This record gives sequence, C-alpha cells and structure tokens, in this order.
Amino acid sequence: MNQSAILEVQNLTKTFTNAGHSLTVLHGVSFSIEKGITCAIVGPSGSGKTTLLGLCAGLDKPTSGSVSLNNQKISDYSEANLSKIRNEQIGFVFQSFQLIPTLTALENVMVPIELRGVPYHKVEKSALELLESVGLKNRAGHYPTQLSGGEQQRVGIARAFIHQPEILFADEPTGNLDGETGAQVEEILFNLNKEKGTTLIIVTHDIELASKCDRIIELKNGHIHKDTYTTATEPEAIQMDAL
Amino acid sequence: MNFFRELFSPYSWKLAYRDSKSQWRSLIIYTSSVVAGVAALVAILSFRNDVLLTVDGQSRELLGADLELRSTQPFHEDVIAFIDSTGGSDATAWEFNSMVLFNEAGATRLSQIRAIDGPFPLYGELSTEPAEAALNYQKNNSALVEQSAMSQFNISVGDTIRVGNRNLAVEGALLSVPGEAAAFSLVGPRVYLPKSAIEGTGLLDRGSRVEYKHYFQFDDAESLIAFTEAFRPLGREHQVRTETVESRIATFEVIVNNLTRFLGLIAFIALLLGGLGVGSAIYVYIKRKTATVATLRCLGMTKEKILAVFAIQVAVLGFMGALSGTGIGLILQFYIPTLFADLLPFQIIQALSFEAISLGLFTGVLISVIFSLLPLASVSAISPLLTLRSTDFSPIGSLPKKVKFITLSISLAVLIFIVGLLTESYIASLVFTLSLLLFVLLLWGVAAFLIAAVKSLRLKSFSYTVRQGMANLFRPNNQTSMLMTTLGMGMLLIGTLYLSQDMLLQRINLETGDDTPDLVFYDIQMDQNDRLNEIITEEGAKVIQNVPIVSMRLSSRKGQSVQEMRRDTTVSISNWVLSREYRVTYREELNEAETILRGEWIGQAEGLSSVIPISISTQIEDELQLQIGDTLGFNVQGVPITTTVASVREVDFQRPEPNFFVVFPAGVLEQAPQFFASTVKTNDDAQSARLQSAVVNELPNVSAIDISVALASVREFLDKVSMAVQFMALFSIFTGFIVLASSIAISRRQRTKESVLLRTLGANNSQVGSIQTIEYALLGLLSSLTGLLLAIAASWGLAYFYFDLAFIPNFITLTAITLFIMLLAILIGWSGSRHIFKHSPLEILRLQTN
Repeated sequence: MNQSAILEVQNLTKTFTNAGHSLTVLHGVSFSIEKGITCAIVGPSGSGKTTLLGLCAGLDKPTSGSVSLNNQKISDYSEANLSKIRNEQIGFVFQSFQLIPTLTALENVMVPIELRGVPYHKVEKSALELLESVGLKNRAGHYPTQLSGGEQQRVGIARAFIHQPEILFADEPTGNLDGETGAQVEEILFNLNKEKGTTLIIVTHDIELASKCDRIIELKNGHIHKDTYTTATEPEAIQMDAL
Repeated sequence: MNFFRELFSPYSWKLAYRDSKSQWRSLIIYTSSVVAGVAALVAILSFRNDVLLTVDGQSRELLGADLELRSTQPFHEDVIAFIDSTGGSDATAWEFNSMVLFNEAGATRLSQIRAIDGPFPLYGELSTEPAEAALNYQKNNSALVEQSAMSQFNISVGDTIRVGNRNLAVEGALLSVPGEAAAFSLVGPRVYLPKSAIEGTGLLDRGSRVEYKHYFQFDDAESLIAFTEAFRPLGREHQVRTETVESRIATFEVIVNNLTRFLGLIAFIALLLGGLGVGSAIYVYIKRKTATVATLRCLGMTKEKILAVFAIQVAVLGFMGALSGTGIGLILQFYIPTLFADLLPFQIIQALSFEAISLGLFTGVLISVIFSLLPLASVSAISPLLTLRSTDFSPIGSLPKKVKFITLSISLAVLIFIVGLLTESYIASLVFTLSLLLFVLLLWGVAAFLIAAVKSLRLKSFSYTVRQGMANLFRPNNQTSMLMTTLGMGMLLIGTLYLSQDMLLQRINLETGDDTPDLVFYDIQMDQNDRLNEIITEEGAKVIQNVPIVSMRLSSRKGQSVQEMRRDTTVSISNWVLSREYRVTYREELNEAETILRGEWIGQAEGLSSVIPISISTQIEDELQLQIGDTLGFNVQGVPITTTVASVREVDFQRPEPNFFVVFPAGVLEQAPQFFASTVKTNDDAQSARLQSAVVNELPNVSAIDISVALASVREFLDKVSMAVQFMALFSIFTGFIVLASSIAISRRQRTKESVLLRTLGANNSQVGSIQTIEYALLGLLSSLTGLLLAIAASWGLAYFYFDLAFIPNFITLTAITLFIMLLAILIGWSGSRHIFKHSPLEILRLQTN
C-alpha cells in the first residue's frame, strides 16, 4: 500500500444477483486516496458511484477485490468490527441529510460520540462548538422538522465531524439544496475539512463542486474512465485500471 | 352523489385493487384491529344463542316439574283441600338450612336440606354416584350428600351424617340436580333426604326458615293453565307462589339476556378500540398517500373517485378483518361455556348462530368504516398544488370545521345505532356511548400527561440508548397516544375489575381483633339461649353479641292496610317489602354498624299500649316511602301493634353480625315469642369446630355460620363471576396489542431507516436492539399506567364515597400486571421488528433517492 494513502482499493468487483440474473456494477476497480486530500467521484447515473462509496465506507462487501482503510483490510471485517471502524474513523454526509427526527439538532450532532458510551455532558460542549462553526448554535434545541434543508445539512456536516474522523464520505451533499444554499454548505464542508485535516471523498453529479476537489475520479459503466488531479502537486503514483 | 356513483363504478374497484395489490399485507394489518372485538362479540352472541337453545330443549328440567307451588308457611288447609281436589301433587319437598354433623369426620357444616317425598324431579334426574342412589335414598331412608362435601370431609357411601337428632346413612354422592347450577353448593352443601327422615326431629318446629313445595305434572298444557287460573286467588290469599316452566324460563331468559348484554358491551369496547386503531392507521396511510393523491388530482382524477377508491379499500379490508374475527369468535364459542360451567344449570348445546355471525360481520365492517370516515374525508383536502410544493401536510388539520363536525356526528350516530342494536335500548346506548367516549377522552388526557412527563424526563444523565428509546415514542406519525388509549382501556377494565373485587373482599374480610366474631349462631329458641351461652363459655369461646329476634308482618302503612295498598293502583311499593316476614330486634342503644341520619333514636318505650317509636333503615325508608313521624302497623304473631318512625338509620349490612331493617326500643317486645342469634369469637379453628359439634349434638336445630368458610365461598363465587367478565375485558388488551402490531407495521420503513442510519454512524446491533426494547417497554409501561392510574382513581372514589373504606390497592399485583404487559409489548414489538437487522447499512445511500 502506498505509504501516504489512507484508502486503497484493489481490483474491486461488485456483482448483484437478483432472480438468477447477475449485474456487475464495478469491474476490477483499483485506486488509492492520499491522506488529507479532497476527491470527487463523478459519473453518470448507473456508473457505480454509490456502490463504490458504500464499499469504500465499509457499508457493503465486495464480490472480489479488497478495500483497505488506514492499512486495515476492511473488506474482510465482520459487521461488528465495521461498525466500530465507522464510528471511530469515518464520517458521513448524506444527500437527504438523514437526521434523526426525534432528536434535536444538538442531540443529532452528538450521536456518533454518544454511541461510544461517552456521557452527554462530556460531548455537549464540542457539539455546541461545531454547531457554532456551522452557524447554528442558536438552533441547537430545534428538531429537524423545524429547520430548513440547508440548516439540516449543516447539522449533518457538524455530526460528520464531531468524532474527528480520518476520512469523510459525502454523497451528493448539495443535491437536495438550491444553488445559493448549496454553495454555503459547500463552503462550510470544505472549510471544516481543511480545518480538521480530514480526507474528503465526495460523490457528485455537480461538475462545479467536483472541480473544487484536489482529485476527480470519473466512473463509467463500472470502470474508472478518468482520474485527474486538479491541483499542481500530483502524487508520486496514479493507479488506474485499464479501460 | 358523485361519490356514490364513483363508489359503484367498476373502474373505482379496479383502481382500488391495483393500488392495494402491492401492499395488501400492510392494509390487512391496518384493519386487523377489529379482529379481537368482533371475535369477542360473535363468541358472546353465539353463547347467548346456545343458552337459549338449550333452555328451549330442556325447559321442563329447569323446574323439574310442570308446576311448583311454594310457601314459607306450611300450606293452609284450604290450599291442601284444593290440591287434593285436583288429584294431589306428584311430589313434595321441604327445603331449609340446618347443621349437619358428618359423624366419621366429626365435622359440622351448615347445609341446604331438601326433604323429598315422591319422585322429584318429575323431569330429568338427580345425578348421583353410584347412579342408583338417586332411586334408593327414599326407600332406604338414607341421604344423598353433595360430592364436594363428601370429598372435603372424606365421607364414603355407608358413612353416617346427623341431621337434627337423626342419624342417616349416606346412600351416595350428589353430582348434579336438574335446573340447579353447581354454584348452588357455595351456599352450603346440598343434602337430599326422604321427608319421613325429618318428621319428628323437631327441626321444623324450632323457627327454621322452611320453604314448603309441591310439584305437579300435567298431561297437557290446558290442564296446567286451568289449574293455575283456578288456584290464583287462593294462592294470593295464602301467599303461595306458583312457578311454571314458562315463568322459570322467562326469569332465566331475563338473566341470560342481561348477562350477555353486559358481556356484549364489554366485547363492544374492544371493538370500539379496534375502530380507533383502524382510524389511526388509515389516517397515517392516507397521509403517506398525499403525494400520490396530489399527482392523481393533477392528472385529472376527481376527489370523489379518489375517495371512493380509498373507501372501497377500507370497506373490503374491514370486511376481511371482521371475517377473521367472526371465525375466531366461532372457535371461542366452544370455550365460553367453560367460564360459566358452575353458574349454568345444564350442559350447553352448541350450534352456529346466523344472527351472531351476521351481526359480527355487520358491526365489524361498519366500525372499520365509520372510524375511517374522518381520515377518508381528509382525502378531499389534498390539493393538486402539493405536487409542486412539498410540505408536511396534515390532511385532517386542513379539513373545514363544518366537514369535521358533520363526519364526527355521523360516526357518533352510527355508533349509537350499533350499540342500540346490541342493547335493544337507545337510551342505554346513548348513555353507554357517551360514557365510553368520556372514558376514551380521559384516557387520552392521562396519556397526554404521561407523554409530556416522559418528554421532560429525557434527562441528560440517561445513556444515549435510553434517551433514543424514549425519543422514538415521538417519531413523526407516531401512534403512541392511540396505543396508550387502546391498551390503557383494556388495563382500565381489568384493573377496575381486579381492584373492585379486592375492595369487596377487603370490605367483608374485616381485620381480626378481639371483638371481631368468627362464628354466628342463629335460630336459638328462648329456652335454648342460656344453655347455648353456657356451651360457648364452657368451650372457652367469647360471646360478642346475643341478640333477640322477633318475627312480625307489616299490617299497615300511614293508616292504609297492606291489602288496600296492594289493590291501590296509585301506590307503587314493591310486593316484597309488604309481604316479607320482618325479623326485628329491640335494644336501648345503637350498635357500631348504625348511624342515625334523620330523626331521633329512642331506646326505651312504655309498652305495647302506646305508639311505639321505632327506627328504620334507609332501605325501608325508600321502599315504603316513609318520613319521620309516619305510622307503621305490625302483626306480632297475632298481636297488632302501632309504631311511628322516630329515626332513620344507615346500616352497614356488610359486617359479620346481625343487623336489622327495623329496630324496636326496649320495653315493648320482651314478652313476645322470640328467638336469638349470637356472635362468637373463638381462639382458633379447632376450638370453632369443637364448639359447632357440641352445639349440633345438644341443640341440633341451632344453625352456625363459620365466617371464614362463608368468606371463602364469597371469594369463590366472586372469582367465578369475575372470571367471565375479565375474560371479555382481555379482548380490549388483545385489541391494544393488535394496534401495537399495526403501528409497528405502519412505522416499518421509518424504523428500518433509523436502524440503518444508526448502524452507518457506527451503532452496533446490541445498541440498536436496546433502543427498540426500551421503546416497546416504555410503550407497555405507559399504556399500563394510563389505564391503571384511572382504575386506581375510580376504585379510590368507590372506596371513599361508597364503601367508606381506606382503600389500599395491592401494588405488588399491579406491578406484576404492568411488568407482564411490558414483556408482552416487547415480545410483540420485536416480532414485528426483526427485519431491521436484515438491512445493510448501504441502504442508507439508496434510501436517499426514495
């Protein structure tokens, strides 16, 4: 594994079988992601973006190939171990925000840490600080239904950073927002990511959003079609499967 | 009108089918809440039908004869002459209570003696072990003894019993008597003897309350009618009552109808709760369908057609729920008679009742539809504009007030109509329905209070899983209040029944103390009183009270004779209060069970010559419609006396000591023929048994009531009666649990999403499981508390205002019931939530686009 890589994907294949019919969504995909960069995974609908994200985040098991996160081969892990990895090393931002409707904004932000058994009063302060950094400290006691879409996504971003993950997966983070709100959310996401030094992987259709990332991986029909660095400093090695 | 046209349009039915095809399982669960209520209703209506059918088939066995004449006095010679002139009776009986000594066991028991002459029963037969004992006991001058007493005292055939001063061999065990329920034996074991065995024992001459009976068999109905018509004036004159098979059936049918109506209403409560469950589920269903409805409206479909489609779905699925309930009810029909086994005088014949089935189906469908009316009406409030603007739309909230009012009024009217069908009284229906609604609102209020308490109790010190479990009770489209109300109503019914029964037993089971009697002797004659008191003292027991009792009959009220009052159509006074034999006492002081409410207590009078100031109980005040100063005339065994009402007493008749409707002052009745009753405190059961044996041996006509045995009988009787009521009330609990299962089915997608999200964020299965378990346990706890809090409040009110008792509920039992409900809620909850672990966390990404 590349020494500076946080995520390494090797020869990853995913085949879904339904009623005797097989559909291979990813075909032997390989790449690695360097620690601390921002990377966009783009591609048309059905290209395998969400499947790839799920496999990289330990939400699903590959048919063949491997995924290593921080030198841990998570593709071989049991669900119980994967839960632990997700809780300690991975953050998520979802297109539909996915807040728990019965909890307040503050409580939603605290969930990942509280799941570790940390008492409320020990996590409350850092959660409030994060809400302040996304501009929602005054809405801490509000329930999701009392917040606008943009506000909900900002709570989602605060939740994604509360446990200081090493890598953060964002699935169409601005997909459900209007342009102006989306831009605000993008700014908050990138600023926080920079501040915390997290590796950010974004799945998106939005070329403008993708262009703000250090690297863009373009998927097509389950293959990596293009892998581009947008910044001046390219890594030592780029691994790309043959098209 | 458009709506009705759409309702019968084939296209609406096709659309309803297409729409429900992919989700029919969920829809069936939504409407299944009526299943338990319909099952209970069909079972109880079928049971009623079975009982009436059985009575029809065994009508003569119910009485044991075509005609029974009975009197509490030996038949007057004119009556005897009349009977003889028609060919005489076919069988006669003397029935009274007396002490029986079981010689081999050395034990005594107050028993129901039936001294028979002739082939009674004339229809059906006494069931005995051995079977021929019923045929031989009169011939062999022996006795038939209740099976339960024979087992209790370890008596065998051939052993002897002593009744009065006569020893009789036991011919056999009495298993059953036609027309009598097994519960009859709770009063005291039944002992059948030949009448000849009693003659000369002196038992009947010594003030015992005897019922004298003559039984007749007729060749045809005309002869029976002719006899009863001819006998009526004579019977009235000599207070001889006539009972025919028809009159016995009529009395029995009234009891059965009242009982089944009462149980039917308890079943109906379950059905009504099921209706609330269906309404709530349909509301959530329609709310979920808002986007689809808005799209269909955009595509040009009229709201009448959409309404018709949903109405068809609700009616068809309501029918399926009612059909399942009817099927279960028909199975339950076979179990119901076992609940009444000891209370019914015959084996039930069972048959399918078309009336019960059709009424069950009809009410099941109607209840499903009327409780869905408001959610259905809300379809009309869904605007096509909602396709463009996605908001959290509340269909019922958007309905105009007028529509809501009309819909609710129609629902209420239909409810009153259905209850009216069941009770055959629309006034009773109105009172019942409104009271029930009041209780539902009360439950709803208590539920709201508890929910608010839980919300504010979501303390920071609780762990995340506990707080999340609590928070889940308030998830969007939650049915927490509905669940707490439906399950709570079941708990209210069961809790009130249990607490009232407990209270009733507390009321009569007075605390033991130095002056609390445990034995009562009665029918003590004047010449036996001193000797009885000596025996009690010799045995080391203590006499608490020794009360004189004088028998008399009412002769006039406010100057009008009893005969005149009977003829006077403007006087509405119950016959029992005019014709009963009054057993009164005399004394100078009030006792602890009495309180003067009106007038003045006068304890001493100047003899028979003056107008005697008496004290009457509130019951007699009401029944005879008396006021202070009114006069009452009595016939004291041939001596007329005039009294005036000096005071009215409230009497606590529940106390284990003799209490009286009428109390005379001292100085009037001392010389009248009288007998005595004594209350006694013994040190232990062995002393009590020795004392009773000693009294039976020396004074055989004196009867004794062992209060602990009487209490055990009361407890057993209450248990038998309450079991049937509790069984019916259980259906409300079942309904509550079906509503729980339904609400879990409704929230399936939401629960899956929550579970998947939490697991994506790093929760392990045990944490997700704990959250679910806490949610279900809390639902069980809160539902139980909702009902039990009201049950405790109701029972406390009853204890404080009616029984005048410091009521302390049995919290251990209530806690056990609550824990049981919590456990059931957890089990049912999990049985509907196992799927949450089957979904991969990956679905959180896919759910985003759904």
